[in-house]
Amino acid sequence: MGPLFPQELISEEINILIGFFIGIGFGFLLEAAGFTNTRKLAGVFYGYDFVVLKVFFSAAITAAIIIFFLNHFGIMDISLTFYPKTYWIPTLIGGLIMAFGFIIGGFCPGTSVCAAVTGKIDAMIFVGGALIGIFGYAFTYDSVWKELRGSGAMGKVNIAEWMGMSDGLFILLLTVIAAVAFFAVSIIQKKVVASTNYKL
Amino acid sequence: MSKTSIFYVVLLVIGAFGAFIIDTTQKEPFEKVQPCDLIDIISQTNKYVTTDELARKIMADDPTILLVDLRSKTEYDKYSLTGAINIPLESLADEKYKDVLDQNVRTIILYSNSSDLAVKAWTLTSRLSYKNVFILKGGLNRWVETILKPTEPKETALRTEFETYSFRKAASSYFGGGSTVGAPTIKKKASLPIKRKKKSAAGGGCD
Repeated sequence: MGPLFPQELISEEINILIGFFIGIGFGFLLEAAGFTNTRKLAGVFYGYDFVVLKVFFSAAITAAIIIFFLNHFGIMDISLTFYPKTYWIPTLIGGLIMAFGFIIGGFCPGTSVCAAVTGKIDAMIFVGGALIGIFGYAFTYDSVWKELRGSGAMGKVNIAEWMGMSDGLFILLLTVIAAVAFFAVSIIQKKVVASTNYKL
Repeated sequence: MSKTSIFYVVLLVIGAFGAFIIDTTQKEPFEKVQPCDLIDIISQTNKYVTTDELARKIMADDPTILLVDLRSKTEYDKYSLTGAINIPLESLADEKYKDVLDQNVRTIILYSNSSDLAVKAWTLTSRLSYKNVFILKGGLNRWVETILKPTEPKETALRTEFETYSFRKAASSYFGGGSTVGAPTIKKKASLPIKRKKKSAAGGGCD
């Protein structure tokens, strides 16, 4: 049956409308989970709050497992879903820049918009900075970034395929890693919180 | 870790384990038909449709049958059965014919000059697990022999044989028999059913 949009089972308008409502839900839950708090987000780097890691890791695994089953029972054809091509060099550089932005600003792109809407001035400035970055990149793309953008091209990479294992095995390994990581970070968190006076 | 998060992590691990089990036990569709099963399938005898049965169906304008001509395009253009579509054996596994052949609504009858190509094609379709596929026994040669140019049975023959003969004679005139060369073939324009839209992966993102 699914995915709905690539098979034109729903129109582009409906697709955007659904995206709009999912976006509202996502933003609402980010705020409800405390992700608009810069200290909570930066906490993962200092070791006193790992909620970011837990939420995003478990979200990814939940999605992976559900999509796997949807695909297996023929409800959604996973081969029709979109995922971008991998360019490892720009991805690495971009990841580093994002990590620094994360530590320094205390927001990731999504949560910054969320926090800006709740009235946080630093978040509004963060969003402004992100927009300047986006436009700056766009306008200088041809002259400066084009070569870097295309470097380290690997095509469409499915990580499980790339490592030579089945999707199911990869999901299982990832889940086990996540479970171990959750357990480990909860110990680290306890120790750090006990030895320092970080407060949210 | 709180009880809720431990519960959720356990749930995730169970889910992932399920995914792993399914993925390792699941076989490719082609492997579903094991060689020993395939022997059973091939040796079954009800895969044939006789020329008489086919003639009856065509004359009754049976909408459930779909005739598939497996010969080359030139041969098909020269002579083919009423309402047949042309799918040469080489292109049988083509993606564009999948929707036509892989269905469970119509009775597909494969034919070629003899049964030879049709049996090959039939084996291929059963390997692909297509349903409702049959072979015209004896192919077009038998069709000409029995339907278009039926021979009169001997006087001592059984009554049923005479009945068959009279049916065949009637069929022969229906199909413009006597001669296949220059025979007025009442040929309905056969066309492939409407195809489903070709699926394509979603675009978007920064690609």
